[in-house]
Amino acid sequence: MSAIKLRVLERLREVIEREVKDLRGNICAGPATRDHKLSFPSLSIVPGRFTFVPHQADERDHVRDEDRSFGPRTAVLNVGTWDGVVELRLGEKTPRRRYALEHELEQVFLGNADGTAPDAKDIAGAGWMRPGIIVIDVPDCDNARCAFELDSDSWEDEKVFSNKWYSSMRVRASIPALVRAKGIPDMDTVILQLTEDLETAVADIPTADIEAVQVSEDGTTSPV
Amino acid sequence: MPGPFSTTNPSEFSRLEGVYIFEKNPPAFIEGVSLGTVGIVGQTLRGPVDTPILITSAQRFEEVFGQRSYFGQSTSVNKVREFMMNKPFGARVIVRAAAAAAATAEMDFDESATPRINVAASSPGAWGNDLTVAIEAATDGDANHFNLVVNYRGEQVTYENLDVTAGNDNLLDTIGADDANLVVVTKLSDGRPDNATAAALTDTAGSDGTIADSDYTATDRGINQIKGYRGVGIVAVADRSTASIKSAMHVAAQASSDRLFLIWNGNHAETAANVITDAASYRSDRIVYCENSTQTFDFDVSAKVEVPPHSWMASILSQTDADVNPGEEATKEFTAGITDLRYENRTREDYISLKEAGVASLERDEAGGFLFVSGVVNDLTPGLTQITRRRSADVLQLSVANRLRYFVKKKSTLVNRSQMLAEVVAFLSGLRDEERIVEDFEVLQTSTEAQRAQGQERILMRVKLINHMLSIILETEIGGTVILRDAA
Repeated sequence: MSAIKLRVLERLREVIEREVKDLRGNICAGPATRDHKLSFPSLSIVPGRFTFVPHQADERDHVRDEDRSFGPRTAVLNVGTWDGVVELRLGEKTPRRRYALEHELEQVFLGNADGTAPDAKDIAGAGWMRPGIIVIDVPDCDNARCAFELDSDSWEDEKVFSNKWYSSMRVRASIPALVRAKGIPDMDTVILQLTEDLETAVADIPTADIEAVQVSEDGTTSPV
Repeated sequence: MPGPFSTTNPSEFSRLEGVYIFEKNPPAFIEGVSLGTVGIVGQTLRGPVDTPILITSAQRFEEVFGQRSYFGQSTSVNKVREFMMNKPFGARVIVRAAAAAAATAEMDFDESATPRINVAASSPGAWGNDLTVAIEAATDGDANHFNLVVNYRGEQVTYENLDVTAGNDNLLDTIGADDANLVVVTKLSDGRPDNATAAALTDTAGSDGTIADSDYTATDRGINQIKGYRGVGIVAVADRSTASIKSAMHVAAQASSDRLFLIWNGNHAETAANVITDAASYRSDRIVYCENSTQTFDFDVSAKVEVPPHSWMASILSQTDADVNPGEEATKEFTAGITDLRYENRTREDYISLKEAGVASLERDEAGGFLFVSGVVNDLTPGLTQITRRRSADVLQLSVANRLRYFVKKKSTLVNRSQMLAEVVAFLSGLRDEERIVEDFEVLQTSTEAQRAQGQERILMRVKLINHMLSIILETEIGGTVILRDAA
């Protein structure tokens, strides 16, 4: 378990909390804090094992930072994904009430049949790719875009005790593996060159045959 | 309801209800930037000096820069008006040139010998002597307020209920600061000026002074106001064309990366040989040296006037796409206002010599109308001689630059660089598919690692431009002994 994955699960918690009112304040993502109180109803988001799947070299992508700065000469590189399983462990006093909560939780993932949010609610930062998958951006993780997919179609009641307080559902999680790349320069100078020579190798084109202008931020140009 | 009105001036649409026919070239698949705005420097009757002002209609031009001549006089002083006469333009940016010593007519208006307001003509020049100003009782009946009545050539403007009493000054709010205003009124002290009958502004008489080259070429004057003005694609000086002014245009052209500069000899009667010699001093592929002055009819005085040839080139370039040769048959509609040329008897050899010297010369077409024989720039470098080549390259560079500006200062990441390339490729592909400007192309990122580390990103566009059929050769073999064979 890593701090990054914990933040991702916290974000999933926020999404579920927004949609399932009865669980507000009673969701624990990852290890519980010391002062966490057990109560009913409750939901635990329990991370399972994650496997790192690396990207091919030409699949590695730089995360955009159009509106945010990752710091001077710093970019965030997506080198692969962490694929794993997350268990949603739901507890409620009576089966009937638990079944109702199970349905609400499923609805968070399924959304509407046309892929829109359930009841057209706007869950900030969450979207639906298709019924069964929710996609969440995690701002404080370099805008990591994570996906959670329902892995099974039914809740499993706990099998140990005669009083079945809990049921669980598996959710497949896909979290991008991000690394910070330092030494990425800013494009302070953008130079646009134009030549009508399509035959000569680029390195051999005479300088006089290439027009070059520098592009400024307001779109004006100046000769280079 | 009046019938459909054909116009090439979009500002006409809102002037009167009705149906308008506005025919224009169909846009390319991806629209590039427009190079059709003309920047004109020259003497006018009045108007702000050394200030670029966007003009989109003849009416607006007259409102700001005045009419042909001074009231009651016949001599034309509005040279920019002459430049634009009888030819269509799109948007124009006008910079009035005036002598540094030109004086502004003005006068103080007193209250019991204490000056309360100063009324001045809105710009320098002798035109201000045609203004009369009166002070009258205010429309609202307040004894402390007054109306200012301005009369200029029969046009009367009344500014009502002006107030310059203690703590008050509504002059700017009431009169405004429009470029077409006739007067500027300044509060001098608290009070209310005495009523006065209409009188000219005589404390200082308006005068034009003596115009000089420096009024066009000095820092922040004339040419230097327009040479870099954003959005202008064509620059011309309406009237004066001395060596100093042509040199200033040449210097500006060499420092420019986005517009053409039109010049002419300056002497309507100059011979072709002297024009050829003169042109050699201003070599640049951003200079278009035009030749063969023209006569056109001035309807205000019902007489022909001689106007320089580059005015017609400015009209053609402002109304046609970048890949349209200024000598095409279709450009005759823009030279329809020409009645005669200074030199109607030029020979073929004359035009060859002028073309080889980088001069674009007007001729009377045997089929009727007038054309620029050779649409050439004043650069003799092979491959760089055509105006269409220069304008097409400008459209490509400026359109792409307009997209790439969003990447300046962005991180040099694979995503950003890939997007830059994709944008450029998409733009050029669109033009190629529409068979406009681009016949074939290749786009490359050519920055070395060292350059990239220094924050420099280079994109190279290799573009084969669509050629123009400058010469069409019709081979004929006609005679009784011709043997016809099947085509191979």
